[in-house]
Amino acid sequence: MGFTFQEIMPAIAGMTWQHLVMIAVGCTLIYLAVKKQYEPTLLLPMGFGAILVNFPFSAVLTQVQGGETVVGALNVLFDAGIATELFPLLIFIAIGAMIDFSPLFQRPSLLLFGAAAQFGIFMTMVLATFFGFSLKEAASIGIIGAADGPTSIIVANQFAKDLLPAISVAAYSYMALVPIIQPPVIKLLTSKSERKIRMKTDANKKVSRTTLVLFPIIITVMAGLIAPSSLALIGFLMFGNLIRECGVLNSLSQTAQKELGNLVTILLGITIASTMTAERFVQLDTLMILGLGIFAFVFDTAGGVLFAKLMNKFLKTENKINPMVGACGISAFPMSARVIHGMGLKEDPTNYLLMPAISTNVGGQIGSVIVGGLLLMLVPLFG
Amino acid sequence: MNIDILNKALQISGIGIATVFIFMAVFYFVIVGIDKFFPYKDESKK
Repeated sequence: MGFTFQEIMPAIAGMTWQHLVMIAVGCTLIYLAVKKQYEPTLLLPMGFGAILVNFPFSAVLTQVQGGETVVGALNVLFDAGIATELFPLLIFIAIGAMIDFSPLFQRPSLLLFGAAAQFGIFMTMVLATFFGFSLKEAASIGIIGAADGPTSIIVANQFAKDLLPAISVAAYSYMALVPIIQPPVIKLLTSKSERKIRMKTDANKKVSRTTLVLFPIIITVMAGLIAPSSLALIGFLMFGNLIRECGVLNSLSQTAQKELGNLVTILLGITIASTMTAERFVQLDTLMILGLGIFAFVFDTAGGVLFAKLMNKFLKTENKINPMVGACGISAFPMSARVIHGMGLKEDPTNYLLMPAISTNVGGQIGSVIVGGLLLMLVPLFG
Repeated sequence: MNIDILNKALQISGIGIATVFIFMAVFYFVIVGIDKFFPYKDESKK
């Protein structure tokens, strides 16, 4: 009766340094979630999932044992929720139900920053092609700059499945690092006097219920007409918002915001982790993607700030925009708005930028979804 | 680096940035329009 060590302890025998690196990555994500509270709802499940899938012969992943295929639970979840894009789209219903679009009505022109601050996505896409990534991979890497996890997952899932784990980790980690990434970029591009600009907003402006109900419907129709490829993304977002604003589905709205959002988030995080295996993750490409992801965030921020400075050249003094607000055109809501509000208060304790920052940030949420849809439409056209 | 892919990326970027601005401009007019046609009325006064 001679058994080899490999037969008795296959996991220990099969463990490589790459597996250990991934288990360390998982522990780091859990540390960031618990200790630093960086996007804990996603980083914790992803971290734990990364540990789960990095044991050789882990039962959570599909294994072939004695010629028989034993399907792993995480593979089942992946096929059901990520490969079909169901989980990210369900998250969009929850996000839509959480968003109040009424701040946009206070100064609708701030919506344009939701376009300007997507600049980094395209810059990064171009840069990624320099490093030898294919067009589809480059687009998937660029979308990290949207600061929008579900959109990143959908684009990467369609264009670059192999890069999905690195892209989702980068997207969610950098969303959490907005307070660290944005302030130095903003300070570099603005003068002290620009950072002190006070913005005129109609904070007391009220919006009719009819307007708030019509808004998601009209936006969906427009998106369907102009870019039908964005309709899954924007349609689910607006569906969630319609549930919120219609006024007759309060129970469903609450469920979408809480139970649906929480349930899908738990499954989304741990399911993404099913792709964080050592074989796929411990590669030079992963480091490059993480680096390019920061580049995307930096240039998104710069795009928003510089566009505000450009607009100020044409605006009357009383209508000038604080360039810091331009940086809120990314999708990290409400994190980015809070950061800018805090920076404004540091420069001038009586300058409250929260409302314009929130308006811009809401525009950024729409902008990132639109860009995701556009990439899904444009990239295949260019092959 | 593949020049052909780089060119395509640049073209997509140009079209993409222009289109997202067009989208936002359209949404701007939608917001201004529906806000004008359906202004807020204080229902407590009824």
